[in-house]
Amino acid sequence: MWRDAVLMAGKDLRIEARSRVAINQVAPFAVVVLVLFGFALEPDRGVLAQAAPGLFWVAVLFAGLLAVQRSFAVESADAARDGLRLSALDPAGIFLGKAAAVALELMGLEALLTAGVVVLYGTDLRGAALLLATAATATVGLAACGTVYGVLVAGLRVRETLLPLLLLPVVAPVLLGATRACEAALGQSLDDGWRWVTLLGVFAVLYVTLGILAFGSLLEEA
Amino acid sequence: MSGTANRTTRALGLAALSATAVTVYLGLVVTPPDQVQGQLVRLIYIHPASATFSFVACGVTFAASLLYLWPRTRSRRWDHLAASSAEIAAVFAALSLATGSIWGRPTWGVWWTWDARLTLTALLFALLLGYLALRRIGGPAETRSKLSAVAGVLLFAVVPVDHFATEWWRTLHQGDTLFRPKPLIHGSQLATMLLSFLAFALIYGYLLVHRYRLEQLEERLETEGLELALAERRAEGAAESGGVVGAGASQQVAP
Amino acid sequence: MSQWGYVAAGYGVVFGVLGLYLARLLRRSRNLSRSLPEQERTWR
Repeated sequence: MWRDAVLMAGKDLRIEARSRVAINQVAPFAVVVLVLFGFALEPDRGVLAQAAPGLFWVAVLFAGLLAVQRSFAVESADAARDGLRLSALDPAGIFLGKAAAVALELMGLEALLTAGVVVLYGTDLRGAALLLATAATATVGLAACGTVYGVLVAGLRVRETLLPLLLLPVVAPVLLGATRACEAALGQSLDDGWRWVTLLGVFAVLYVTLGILAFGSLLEEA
Repeated sequence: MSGTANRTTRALGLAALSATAVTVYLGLVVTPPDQVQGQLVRLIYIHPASATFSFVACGVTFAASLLYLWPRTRSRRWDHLAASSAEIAAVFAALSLATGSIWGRPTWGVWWTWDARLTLTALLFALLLGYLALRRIGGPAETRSKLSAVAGVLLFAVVPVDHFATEWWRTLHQGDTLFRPKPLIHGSQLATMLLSFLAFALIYGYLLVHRYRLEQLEERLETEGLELALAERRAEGAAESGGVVGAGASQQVAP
Repeated sequence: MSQWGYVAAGYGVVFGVLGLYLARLLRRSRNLSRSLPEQERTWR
């Protein structure tokens, strides 16, 4: 399973390196979202700085949607999904590989958006350990959850509209938890950030497990 | 033609109607107004029950989805049950949100408050809408059932996580009225509230039976409806044209 | 709006919606059962 996962992740990342879709399209999209939030919320009243953690994670969510769509769009050409099914690859390995590739792309994106938030919203970065732990657990959860829903809708004609409707409510607790943890890290609240990291960890474990169990049969229907 | 009704549903429906009528009578007429909330406390006889049964119905969908996916218990029945319960869950969730809103406006002055329970119900409603949208994708029934069953498990597995997330985040709600060492309400109010849970349980059961049978009918129509329609057309064609064209048509059909 | 108004709205919405939903269910099943032969219904 692990070998197949590495194989799969390597393939997805190589496709990304060659086509640069995430770099050229998804990343700018995420930055544009940050800028649009600046238009929507008056910068001078301090709302932006206060809301920075939440806005950051909303931008990550939207970019995550695109990353997942892209992850499965590359499998729709040349009957690649049939190829996946017929290959001897372990479906759990395929799942882990694709999810890992999405997770890595998202982490790169988060680094970029962190810079964006510091520059555009004037955020003071503090509590690095908590921030990193939050980002790690949240990203794994988002990538795993996105990948399993991505394959669920992959074979459907309405996948572009159905994926957001299915995925966003499910990852809502990730948005909640990641925002609260980041607020605690930045000193904006007295909440216990590590409690939220635990919640994010539970979510991640839950959807990695469910993904491993479900991916095979979902791939058959895709 | 009475569709999906039979003696059982008539009995169940009558029980549900009676329990509901008694609840409403007790709730609106017999029980006293609250010291703090005034007449608004009467909404406690419809709001918690509808919220509770939206969650119960979701649990049924979750369990039925699992049973469908488990090879040893796989059966069309679980698929029908999951779909039916989800639709009713959505109705109850919407009612819960509406009554929560109606209660909140005069009590707290706003149509919506981000308190833990209401937010959790709103999330559940969103999850249900996704599930119901997935059921409408069309295409082969087997695919639809399998995808829905997996979605049923995936979507509702997050509910416990949501529960803790919303609880830790906000609590404006009055806290558990029932499950405390000393219940906050007593006497006729407590009894009526418990009765309302019974009434809603019966309403849920009644709606579920009808919706489940409707789902069965719809599936039958899907699988056999086409053959039935073709058979009818052929019968019409044979009756219209008498012998000649009928013979010609049957000559064309035979290879 | 007085408190009774809100209470009435609450009860009205709940039982109104439930009643409409039930009516819709029963109507759909009545229409469907017309298109299907008797033996399909296993709950008689």
